[in-house]
Amino acid sequence: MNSLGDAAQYAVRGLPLGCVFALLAVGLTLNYKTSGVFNLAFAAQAYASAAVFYVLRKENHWNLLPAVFVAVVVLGVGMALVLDRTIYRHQRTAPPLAKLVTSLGLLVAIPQIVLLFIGNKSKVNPPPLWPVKRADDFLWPQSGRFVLDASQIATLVATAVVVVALALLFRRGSTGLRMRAVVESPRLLQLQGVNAEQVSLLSWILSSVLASLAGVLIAPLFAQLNSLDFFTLLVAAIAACVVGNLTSITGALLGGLGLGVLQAELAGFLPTNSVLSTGLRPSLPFVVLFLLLLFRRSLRTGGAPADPMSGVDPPPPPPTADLRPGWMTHGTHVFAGAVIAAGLGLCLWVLDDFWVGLVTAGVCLAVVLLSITLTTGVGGTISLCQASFAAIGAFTTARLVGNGMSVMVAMMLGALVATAVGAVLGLAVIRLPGIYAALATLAFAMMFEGVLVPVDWISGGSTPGRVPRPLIAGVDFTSDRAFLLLACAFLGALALGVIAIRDGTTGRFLDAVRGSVTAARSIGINPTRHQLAVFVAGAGIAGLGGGLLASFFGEANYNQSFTFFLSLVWLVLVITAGSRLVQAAIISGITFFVFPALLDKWFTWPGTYLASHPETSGVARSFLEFFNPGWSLGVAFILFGLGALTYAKHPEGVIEAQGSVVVARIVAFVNRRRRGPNEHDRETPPDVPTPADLVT
Amino acid sequence: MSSSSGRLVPPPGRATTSPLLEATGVSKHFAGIAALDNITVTVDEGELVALIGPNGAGKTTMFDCMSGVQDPDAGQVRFDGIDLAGMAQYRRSRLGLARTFQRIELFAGLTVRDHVLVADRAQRLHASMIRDLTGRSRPTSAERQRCDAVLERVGLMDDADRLAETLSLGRGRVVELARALACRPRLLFLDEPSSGLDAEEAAEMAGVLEDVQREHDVAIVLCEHDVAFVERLASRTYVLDAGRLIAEGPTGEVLASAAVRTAYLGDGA
Repeated sequence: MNSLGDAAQYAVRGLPLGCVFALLAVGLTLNYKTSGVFNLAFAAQAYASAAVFYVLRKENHWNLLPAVFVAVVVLGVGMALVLDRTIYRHQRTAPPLAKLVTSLGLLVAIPQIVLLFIGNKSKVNPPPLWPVKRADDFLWPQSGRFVLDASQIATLVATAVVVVALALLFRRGSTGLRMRAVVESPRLLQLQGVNAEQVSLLSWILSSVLASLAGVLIAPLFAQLNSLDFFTLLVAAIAACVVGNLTSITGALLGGLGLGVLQAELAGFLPTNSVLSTGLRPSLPFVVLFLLLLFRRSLRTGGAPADPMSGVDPPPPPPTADLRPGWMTHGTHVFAGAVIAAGLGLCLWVLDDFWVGLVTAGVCLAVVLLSITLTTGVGGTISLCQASFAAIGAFTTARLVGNGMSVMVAMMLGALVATAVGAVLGLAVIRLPGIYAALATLAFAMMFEGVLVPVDWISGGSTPGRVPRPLIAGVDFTSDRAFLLLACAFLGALALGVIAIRDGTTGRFLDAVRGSVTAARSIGINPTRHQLAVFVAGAGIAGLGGGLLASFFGEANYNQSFTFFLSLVWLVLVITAGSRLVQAAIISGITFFVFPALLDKWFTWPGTYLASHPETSGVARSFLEFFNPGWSLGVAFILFGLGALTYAKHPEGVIEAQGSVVVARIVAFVNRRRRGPNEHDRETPPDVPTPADLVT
Repeated sequence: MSSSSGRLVPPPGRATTSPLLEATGVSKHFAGIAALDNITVTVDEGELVALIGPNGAGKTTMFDCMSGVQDPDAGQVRFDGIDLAGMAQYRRSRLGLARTFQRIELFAGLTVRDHVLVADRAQRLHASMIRDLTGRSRPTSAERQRCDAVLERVGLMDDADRLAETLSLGRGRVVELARALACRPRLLFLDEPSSGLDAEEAAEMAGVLEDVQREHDVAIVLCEHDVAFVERLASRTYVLDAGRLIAEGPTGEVLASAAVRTAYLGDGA
């Protein structure tokens, strides 16, 4: 009886948090319903508004209403207008995958852009959406069993208002209907005489304002503003969206409330100080999300709606390899070999230790990124947990080395453990349709981070496990340059392996699956089997790369090298460069470490120049003072994130897109030469030559 | 796999004791509406059977139940004596069932030749990464020969190295046919092979089908709108209307029967 009373009490306590989940889930669901985008950047927009609200209210002491107006309405509408003009408008008919990649890019870029404006100073105790300074400055009732603070009251009120407003919008009138129609087929809606652009813009404004409102409301939950916390909370809210199948707003609302209550119940009933309460309770939403994704049958059958007008799209351009005549293929290979040799020579004999170290780290990371080439590029599965596989490899290596095993053997075993984990996870998630598989791997990454990483036995706790450089058959790889050679050997061997799989039977079968799953099945291909195979192999490669990274850095440090957010950044990088190309993985790996350092050098230069040339003044001085070396990492991430926006236009990747332009030019040039000078001005030479042109 | 030997060489003087495909008492309901009501269709080895009916008659549903896209609510579909219920589609393919699609489903990014090569290989093996890594995944000369033979047969040789998605709808349908034939099926399901084709292309398609059926000794089930097309090709025809089988028998007789004329042209005809 007593415990029943407790349960009721905990349930009431969980309601405010439930409302937070519900608000995020409703916003996200609405966003999905009216734009077809599963907008993970929702968290970034929420963070942006929360940050602006903080600056206005706390640092500039604005009154509540103007601060809310600017942070929620102006910024919300403004972001929607800018993003719609620059990005979403051009992606309306893009495939769901392209939209997901765009949202990942924005998720990486937006918080860093915000930080450029508001500075790196920590933002503690975010203010509530209530005319008081701190959430506990206003309590209601003043005392008793269920005391709500200002931020909780604001959340409850706002949730109620939003739900009623949305219900009115979608139940009455045609706006809601049009918003849903524009997702299905904007072109068809245009033909009906409706301005699809306007409808779509309206739905973006609506969800953007919701994101802003949610951001301002949830900020007081955290002691300090940090964009990652917003994203973590958003992923938790996705569990609530899945309750509503990503389409039902009522489902999302109830799911959110239920999740909050469930978490409060667990907090009340689980024994404190056990693994269950320290690890499992905060991870509960991710566990729920993972289980829901696995066991909701309706998700498995519900594919993305096919645009009935998609047939009017022109066919995609042929890949570079098809444009390229035989002699050029050899030329490209020779050129690539020369570039690699020059790069290695530069590292071994020219560059100083600092840069060699960065390149070596990049090569180790490139091994991890090859797993993305295999899993996503070849297998077509979006995995958001490759950093977790790398961490598993690194932890295993550290653990075994700690027990006296040789580093190389430990690395191999680390790769094997990652393979095994990949096999178990893959069996569970690989059948899910695209976006759900991505979400399930994200949920796995968060569970891993929440439940397993804190365990001392696994990660070494606060003192990360040490991993020395290997010693193979008397050869010592302790120096950075020697280790670089070792890492390059691994990278080269694995890259050749990935190419063999991509161009082999497995790759061909998976190409067929990507072309048409139905048809692939009809000719005897079992899609699940092959996708699983490359997913598992990818996990193993990531595990090996994790071991290499740990050995390079000397320790298996989770927070430095393997957090779940890095999975997203790496995926965005590789996909931008070209998900099917091993050279894209290699370039991305090196870029990830070298590019921020280069930016740092450029941003530091004005300061050093001014220090040594104090006579500089006027415009030149203020221009140079503008640069801040603290920006380098942020600017690098912004560029990484914005790079992903090219994906919608060039799903084959930047390298391939540029490559085909260059190849077409060279071929056209050679053809002109061969035709002789008299025919030089013959009108309209074919701008894209077909292979047949080149035979003669 | 045991069936693969029978596909290449037609069994001499086949004494068909039981039909190749036997769909008995198939019913399917959608939200209480009977899309199919107790339909029985049989197809003999090497026979060309058509399934026709006005829009909404349930012929696509019946076709899907027979080819394995959907499972019937009641009834049984047996292929060569094997019950197909609940069998994964890729397994059915390996038994010797192949199909084409009404809305063509090509592998974007693959050339026509690759379509045929992939289908040929998928019939015999699962991809193995070990084989890929040891460089044993290139097409063998036997595979190339079989591929060329199929392309030759359907007249796709000229387009062999083009990307499939750059072809016209008519050629696309031929690519689907080639891909299905590369599976060396004993029974071929063709879902409206003439839809979207002009008269000339349809006639060409019919010609190819006649040749294929004669030379490869493959049974064909045709789901079709175009009555002339059916009349030219099918030896037997089943007519569905509103989920019921209203006529079956030799094509000429069936098309001439009063019930069929009523179903197609309305009561006044």
